[in-house]
Amino acid sequence: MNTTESPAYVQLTLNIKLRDSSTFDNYLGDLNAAKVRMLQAALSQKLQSKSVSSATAAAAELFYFVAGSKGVGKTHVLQAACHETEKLGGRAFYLSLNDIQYLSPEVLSGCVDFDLVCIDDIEFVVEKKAWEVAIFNAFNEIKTQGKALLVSGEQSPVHLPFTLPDLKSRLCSGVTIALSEAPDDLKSEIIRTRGKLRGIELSEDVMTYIMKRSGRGMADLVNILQKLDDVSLSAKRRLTVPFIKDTFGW
Amino acid sequence: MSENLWSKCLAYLEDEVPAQQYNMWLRPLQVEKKGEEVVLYAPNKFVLEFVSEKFMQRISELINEVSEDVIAGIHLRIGSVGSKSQTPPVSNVTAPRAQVRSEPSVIKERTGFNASRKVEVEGSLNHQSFLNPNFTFQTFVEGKSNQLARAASVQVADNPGSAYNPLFLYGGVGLGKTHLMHAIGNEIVKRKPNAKVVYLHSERFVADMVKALQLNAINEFKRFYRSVDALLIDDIQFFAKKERSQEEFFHTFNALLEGGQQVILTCDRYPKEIDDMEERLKSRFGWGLTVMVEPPELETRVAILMKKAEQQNVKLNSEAAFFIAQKIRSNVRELEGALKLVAANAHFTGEKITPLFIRECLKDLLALHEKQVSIDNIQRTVAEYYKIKVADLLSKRRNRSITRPRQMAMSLSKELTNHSLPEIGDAFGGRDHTTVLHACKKIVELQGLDQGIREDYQNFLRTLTT
Repeated sequence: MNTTESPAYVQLTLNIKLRDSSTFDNYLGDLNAAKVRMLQAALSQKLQSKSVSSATAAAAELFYFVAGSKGVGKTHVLQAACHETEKLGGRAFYLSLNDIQYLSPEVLSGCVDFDLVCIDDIEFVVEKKAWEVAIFNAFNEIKTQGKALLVSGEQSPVHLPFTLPDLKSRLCSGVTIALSEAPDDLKSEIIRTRGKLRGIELSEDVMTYIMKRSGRGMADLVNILQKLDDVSLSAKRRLTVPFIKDTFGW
Repeated sequence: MSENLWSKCLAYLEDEVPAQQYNMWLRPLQVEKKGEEVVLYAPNKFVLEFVSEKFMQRISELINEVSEDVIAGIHLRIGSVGSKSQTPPVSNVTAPRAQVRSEPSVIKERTGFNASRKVEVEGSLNHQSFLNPNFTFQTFVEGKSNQLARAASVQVADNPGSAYNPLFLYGGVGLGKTHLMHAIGNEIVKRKPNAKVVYLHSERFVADMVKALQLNAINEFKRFYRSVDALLIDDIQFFAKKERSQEEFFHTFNALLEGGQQVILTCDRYPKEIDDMEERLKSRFGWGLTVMVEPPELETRVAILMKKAEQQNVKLNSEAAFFIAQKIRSNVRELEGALKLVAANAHFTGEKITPLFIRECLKDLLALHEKQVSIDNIQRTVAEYYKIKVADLLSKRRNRSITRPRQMAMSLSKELTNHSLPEIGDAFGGRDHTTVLHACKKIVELQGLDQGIREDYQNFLRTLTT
């Protein structure tokens, strides 16, 4: 028997990962903090005004466009807004468009019944006429009904080449906040904190090693954390530099 | 009780399902417990089908595990707690063994028109106008760019059906066409409260017609639209390529005009330029009055900002308004967005709105906007427009067909980028900064003398900044 071969059996991990929910509380870093707090405050005010008077709520229209490159935390902000809405007794509708091939524009129907509608990764519908029209119609209905809307995209809507200029101009009519990319030390801190939430302890040495070897975009780093989360349980090993080296073949 | 049961299930599901999927498919579900039955509500057919296929088995297991009571059945429906569900259950699970029976084939479309859009027969008073009460002539800011359109709209509101019929308003997005349309509708209703005025987007007209055909209600549809006192249809260009809708609209249009009922249409372009639209419709669109709404000039943009600020209870002085209006020039919606951003920051920080504060608030927004305005981009756009090569712009050639576009591009580079004059000169084949200065002066001068140059310049500004 060749002992150098990979083991025939690997321990399967149980689905017992600790919760790593995106909330406003665990949105880290000072860089975008003021913008995100502003959004949180506006959302809270909007949802609380709903219980006071529907007319006031309708008047206090809320539409934010969250712009920023991949990995700056747009999805985190949108999901945090969903959490916040539910915490305040409202209902939230979240739609990520990055798997658009598996979706139909029909998924948007009925979204106006929710207190908050979040549409993540708007750039994926560019030049897809049926989607653009569906979002355009949803936008108008959400606005008419005085509900809250958050849309995210990698660029300002001004630069997104929609086939429907009407959609583009409407997306420009909200409060646009641009999230900036975190510096490396903040990215390390974010990954270590998110690791802790999942019960993964990443030492400073390990983190420095990862930052030197891996892609430094947040999406790359989150994928690494995800992989470590999966393999560390099955390998039953501490997360040391040699273990990381083996795992990723660096 | 049912909320508690569902929260417990969600706690498990949140751990088991990836966050994205959890947020998209499970978070929007609502649960109601009716005796021994549990009903899950999905917001639409798509979510219902997805949940039914991917998660229903696990959901039913969890409900049976978590519930302290006997669960006789678990159903998945479209709707929300408290409302009457719109479909029969598609999943029916009987405790204790979670056996999901999915019947996606029985899912029906949501009944044609919702309550407020129900097609009413002629003479009924229960129609809904869909007019936005905030869009009136009082809230419309008049300027050079829209005064003709506003005057025509006032005339139509004063004499519906006889002044100009149809009234066809056209122009780019976010310039106030829809506002004027609603203002006419609101004015007609104000003067004659029982007037039947209906506003709708052309997409909605098409969708309603399709539903009417599906439900065998096309005659009611026809009767309804032909019985209105004024029909306001927005963005008529969406009828392009929809032949059946064009056909139906053609007859409705004729019937309304013959009956002396008012028709108001908006479009993003001049009737003759609408592609894939029947000629007979295009020619009819021009029977009444066709008016263009142009992009607002600086002073109008300032006035619009001041008006919007007043409506939102935001203290904005004219200096601050001028600052925003100089930076945002494409359309009113973008202006509105910039104002909202400033107002949201002021509200959040409690600071007074000054040009310095605005500069800070708009810093990111302008950086996002200006990202793609580079000298290269300007040169490419100008060369393409005048059908010359970028190399010509950079060359030593001095005939007018080249120098004028070159001066135009230099002037735009000064206005739209932060490059210094020597840098701009360098980018145009190593010219001196005084040549750039001369070009800028020349273009300003020509704009005052030649309407063509003025229009070209404004078009470039819009194209490059939107």
